[in-house]
Amino acid sequence: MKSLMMQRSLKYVGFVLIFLFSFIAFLPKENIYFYYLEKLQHKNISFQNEEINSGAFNFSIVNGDVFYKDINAFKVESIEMKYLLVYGKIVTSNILFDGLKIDDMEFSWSILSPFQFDIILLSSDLNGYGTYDIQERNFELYLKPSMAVAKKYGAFFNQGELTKDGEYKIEYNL
Amino acid sequence: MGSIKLNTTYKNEIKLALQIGAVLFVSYFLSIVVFLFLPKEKPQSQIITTSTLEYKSFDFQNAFGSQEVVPSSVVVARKVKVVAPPPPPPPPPVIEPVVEIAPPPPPPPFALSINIVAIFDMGKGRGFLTINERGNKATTIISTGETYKSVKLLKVFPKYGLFLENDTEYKIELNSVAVADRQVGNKTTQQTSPAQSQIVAPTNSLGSERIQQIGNKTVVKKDLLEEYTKNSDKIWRDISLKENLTNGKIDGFKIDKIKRGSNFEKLGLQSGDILKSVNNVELKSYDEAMNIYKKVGNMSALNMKIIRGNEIMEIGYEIK
Repeated sequence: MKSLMMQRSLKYVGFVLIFLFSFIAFLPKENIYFYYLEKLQHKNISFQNEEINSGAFNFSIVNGDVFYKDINAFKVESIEMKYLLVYGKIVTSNILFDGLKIDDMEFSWSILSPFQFDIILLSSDLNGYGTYDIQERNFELYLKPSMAVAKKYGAFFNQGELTKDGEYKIEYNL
Repeated sequence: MGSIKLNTTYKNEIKLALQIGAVLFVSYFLSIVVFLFLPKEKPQSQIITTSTLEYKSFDFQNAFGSQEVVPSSVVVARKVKVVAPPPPPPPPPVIEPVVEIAPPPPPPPFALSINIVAIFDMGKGRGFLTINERGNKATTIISTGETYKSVKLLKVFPKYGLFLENDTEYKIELNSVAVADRQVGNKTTQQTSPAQSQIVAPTNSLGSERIQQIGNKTVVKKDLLEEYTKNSDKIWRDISLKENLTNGKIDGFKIDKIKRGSNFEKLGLQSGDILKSVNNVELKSYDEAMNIYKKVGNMSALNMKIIRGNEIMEIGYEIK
């Protein structure tokens, strides 16, 4: 009797998982992207000249220019999104912003901390890590810039707190 | 004829397949419903994709709006000044055909003329290099992030430096001089350059006779200091320094390790000491430290202020 119940419950769990995975695979990711582009336009942000590649569990944008208030703010070589139900990742590569090149920026999410994104920044001029709390809409970043970057963007970094490790702790509420 | 009866196992499998098919159909149906509510095309944005400013010509004659209308009852006879007719416009200039001259070829990048004489690798890509330009013996010391003429030093590695010029990265390898590792005691490969082969430093010649205690004074021979200024790698074999940070800024240099029996130990320095100033010049940056290093061969006395534990001490040396 118990084994029958176990079998049935496993079966239903399996169906739920199949449903969720197939729903994600069938989702029109490009149209979701267009939806968020519309929302960003209200904040004067837009993407131009990009190539869109969409798959079952991944979605990527290649060679895009990001415009803020009609000014070409920065270029992005690629933005790749992967979502596997319990784990999701957005990886942006080669962001060029005002002469500052950020090689890799990664936002990752897992079901173990569902209300938090982990952020990692890697570049020769600027390294950092941090978190984004979805509930509180709060960024907490620890950035370690090179000397030249710290001088150039001193006004931005001085808004944060300098830790003992030489990192700037910056908190920002969206 | 008898009908074909399906085995019960096949029935279960077909049932399972139908159930999975139904789940897939439901998920597909829901995704179509979601699709109906989402935009079908990329939103249009009116962006002028030029990066240059748009200049408009300014019409001075009509710049200040319409002229005041004078009512007919207040018309006053005015003297009309007769203005001579404007001179005829000059004939258009004859445009000579422009001979296109090929632009001069771009000069070779400056980075290719840089020669690395010495590397001090602090780890994690930080450090500084002693460089000179090919054909010029004068050397310059640059640290990570610093720009020398049109070239910026991005990172320092044990055997090469990474430079940036005009959005192109250049990897320039160490030419000849031994690389100094930040860990005291590590083996380093040595390659003496032809230019420096005249400086012969016998391995045991830096002996204790160059540092003497005469009464209360510590006397250091000048040639010992000169050898250190000419061969920076000899320093880093005996002593290891790292930045002492206070509120994220350099506030002296901490002695990480000192080799036992080395000249630095004989000078009274210990591991853990923080060098705060030399001859009243506070060590707040690499530049200040390197300036003192360059001048130490010409000094007659050296007074160092150090922090040992919680104690501030001053150590003085006479240079003869």
